[in-house]
Amino acid sequence: MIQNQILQNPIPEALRPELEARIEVDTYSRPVIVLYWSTSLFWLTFATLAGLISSIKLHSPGFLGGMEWITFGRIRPVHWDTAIYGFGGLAASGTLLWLQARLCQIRLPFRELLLVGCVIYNLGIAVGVVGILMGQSTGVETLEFPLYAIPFLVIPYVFIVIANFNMYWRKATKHTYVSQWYLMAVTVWFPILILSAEACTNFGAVDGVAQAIANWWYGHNVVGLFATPTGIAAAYYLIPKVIGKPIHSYHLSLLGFWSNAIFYNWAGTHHLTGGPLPAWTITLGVVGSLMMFIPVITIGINHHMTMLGSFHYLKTSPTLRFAVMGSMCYTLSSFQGSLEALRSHQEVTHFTHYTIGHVHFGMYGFFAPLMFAMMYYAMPRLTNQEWSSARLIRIHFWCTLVGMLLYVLAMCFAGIRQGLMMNDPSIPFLNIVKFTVPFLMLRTLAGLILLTGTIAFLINFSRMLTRHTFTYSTPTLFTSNRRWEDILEKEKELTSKQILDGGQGA
Amino acid sequence: MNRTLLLILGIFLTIASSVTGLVIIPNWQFQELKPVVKNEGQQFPAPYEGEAAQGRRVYIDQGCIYCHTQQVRMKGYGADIRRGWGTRRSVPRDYIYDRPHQLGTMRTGPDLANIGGRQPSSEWHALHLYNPQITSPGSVMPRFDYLFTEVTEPSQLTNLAVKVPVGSGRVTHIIPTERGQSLISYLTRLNQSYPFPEANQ
Amino acid sequence: MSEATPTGGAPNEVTPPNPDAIFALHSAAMREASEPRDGIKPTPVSYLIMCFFWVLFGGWYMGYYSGEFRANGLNERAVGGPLAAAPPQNPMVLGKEIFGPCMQCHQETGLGVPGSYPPLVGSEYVLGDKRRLVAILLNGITGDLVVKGKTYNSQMPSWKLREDEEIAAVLTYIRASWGNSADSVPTNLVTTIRKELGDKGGWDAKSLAEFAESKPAAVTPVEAQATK
Repeated sequence: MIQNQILQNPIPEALRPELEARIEVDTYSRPVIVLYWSTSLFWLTFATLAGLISSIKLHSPGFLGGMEWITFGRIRPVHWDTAIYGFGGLAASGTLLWLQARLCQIRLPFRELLLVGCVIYNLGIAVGVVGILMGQSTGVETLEFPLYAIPFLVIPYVFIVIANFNMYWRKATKHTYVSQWYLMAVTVWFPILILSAEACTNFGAVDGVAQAIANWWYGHNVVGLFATPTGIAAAYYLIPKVIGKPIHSYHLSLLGFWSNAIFYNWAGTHHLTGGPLPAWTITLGVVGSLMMFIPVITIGINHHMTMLGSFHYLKTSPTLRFAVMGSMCYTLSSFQGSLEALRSHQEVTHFTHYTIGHVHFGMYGFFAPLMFAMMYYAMPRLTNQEWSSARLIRIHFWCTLVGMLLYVLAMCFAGIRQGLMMNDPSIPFLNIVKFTVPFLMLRTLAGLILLTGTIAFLINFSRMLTRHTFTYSTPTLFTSNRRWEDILEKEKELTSKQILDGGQGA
Repeated sequence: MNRTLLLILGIFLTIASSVTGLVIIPNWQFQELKPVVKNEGQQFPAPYEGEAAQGRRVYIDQGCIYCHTQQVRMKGYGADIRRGWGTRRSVPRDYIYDRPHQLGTMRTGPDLANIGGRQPSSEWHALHLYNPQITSPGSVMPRFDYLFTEVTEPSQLTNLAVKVPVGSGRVTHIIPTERGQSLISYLTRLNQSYPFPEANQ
Repeated sequence: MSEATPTGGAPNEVTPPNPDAIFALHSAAMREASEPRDGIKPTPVSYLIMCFFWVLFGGWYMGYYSGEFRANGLNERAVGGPLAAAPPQNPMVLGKEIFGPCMQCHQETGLGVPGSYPPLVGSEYVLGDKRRLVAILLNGITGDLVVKGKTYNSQMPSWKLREDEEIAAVLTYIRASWGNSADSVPTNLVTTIRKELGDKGGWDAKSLAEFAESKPAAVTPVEAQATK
């Protein structure tokens, strides 16, 4: 069998310590990371369904009508909160812990604590969702979870911060890789971010317009200082790892990291352009967004130059394809975002579906594919199994790409037209609403495509957890014809004894 | 270890600077904003009290903010004023009693900063909330029919009852529930008509 | 999904017959490249200079649009004096624009909602006495109102906060749209009636009728012109 094939080529002595360390690290991380990622996928599916329901409700208001708990104004925040805290938070935490353990070459500490934390966190999101559906939303965008859900979300994060610092302090490697800078940044930023924002809004430290500023400072930074750094850390890890080349330039990494750190957290107030704010606060947001060109171009160059000459790997490697899609969308959506912040641009697109299109470009074009890439890469290492079906990976990839593009293009186009019409007072408001309806239907279609991709991924992922697919020694690539049926055939060939052993004694 | 400390200190400083610049300083600046009190004791803006405060809670729990803003942009920037959503731009002073704020970022529906001045009729709001198609055919707003009791028998009528136009089946009138009534009184109270001097910019 | 975590059977707890079997089991971890490293390609100096100038531009932009960093500096462009007065607009164009919020009740077609909101098309209030029409718009009207033989019971808000020119334009617009064809409402008429009404509250059908029958206050056209 395969095992024998591998053993036919003896392992070079020089490589042994590295391989042993890597295997040990992965074996230790396994229960924690798999739990974080599998629950994150549950929330991804949940969020996609909630988004689909809100999308349908927006062009057919009678859909599931008459039920107060699922009215648009409740299911819409449930969609965003489960997407960002449920999927985003859990997928990013899993990524953070696995990457940090691997890059520090150290066993994941406090495993029990982290497992308990994951359960608490999931409970917290469930409690928050029920709270919103019951009408107890706080009414502050992206911080809608009722106050009683907050401890559930904060305590697990404390565990993650402790584990992360612990690993970094005891790391076995001398060098700090660029991904680790981003991971450390996330661990410092996020607690400060959420605690200041909660204090200012839901705990009522400030009122009125100051609260709106704090709200959007947070609303933008939860994407910018939590999702983005984790996504970039994943890209910095996966791209060189898969193609087996070093990152193009350490200096560019340095420039990209610090300019990102300095400028991103000022950008939030562009969400309130034209609002009753002192001009300087909005201008700060605009400048912060414009300055983002520096880190985005720097990181873009760094990734592109690393990839240069290795683009042919995209034909075969699922991990790389998702990672490169994520990196490219990072550059494009950040460009879009920087330009969108300008006052002249906001005059048209603010308050329209354009913003919604941009958010999904960032979250589903950049962040989510990088998390998927991370899972495609790490899961075989964590579970010692291969992905069962290449076709399902293909479906997942193309659904993600096509669904996301359709969504973004439909919403951005509709948003621009909607904004131009709104600025022409001779057009009755209801005509604008009627104009957007076909685009809202396109969005539902895009949502369905994304849901199909998610389901394909879920099937592949759950097979990895429930079925033994160890009979393969080669990775599942886009070029392989691996099918689920083959595995069943293979399993029949094996004796029941071998299956019970899990192949370990071969 | 020095480099590690430097890294963490740098990361901390970046966020500390934006907390200071975007959260602490604006809030400190806004301390000087006080309401205008006229001789008759009337105050602009006035705090939300009683039914209106309750209605604000309903506005929040129904998630109106996801489709409606409460902010009027200045003359010459967008067409807010020309669309009749307000007679002047909104200023920070309009919001000093807003907790949580409901500025909003989406205009799937029109702005509501002055809806009380533009549409003071409780009856209109009742019909519109009960079934938006009655007053705004083609609207994508959901029905909030659960905030109303439907009346089919004349004996059930109260003085709050609102007549429903023909074509609503057996229902002849609707009576707002307590929550429906408070939401309507909040909406009819929304008005930024007081001409603060800083609005003329 | 969430419970489906493989926990039991960590491979290193099994004693493999072959010491290298542990590697065999981790074929995925075996085949990968070493942990990523940093390359040392330098950053082009020209790129750094461009970044530097971009930051300089950001600083200039911040200062230029700062509104002097005041809490009440709401308009980042308020640098010169007050804006020049806008030239008079075509009342039909302006009126259509102003009509936007009116559509909530009177609808885009001007037909209103049967039983609730009276039509503007063919309405005696719209096509008749201009003075009465201006008065309705300025102060609003509440209660039973008979229009074209049908009774409507509702509430119309006061639109007093709009400019005289805007009120005149929207009235001119409704008097000449959807088949209505009455003459235009001059701006100075609105000015005059606004002065005459002063702080008066909203109308009902009765007080409005009294007002319409009363004589117009003695404002000569010359004076009206002067107030404009």
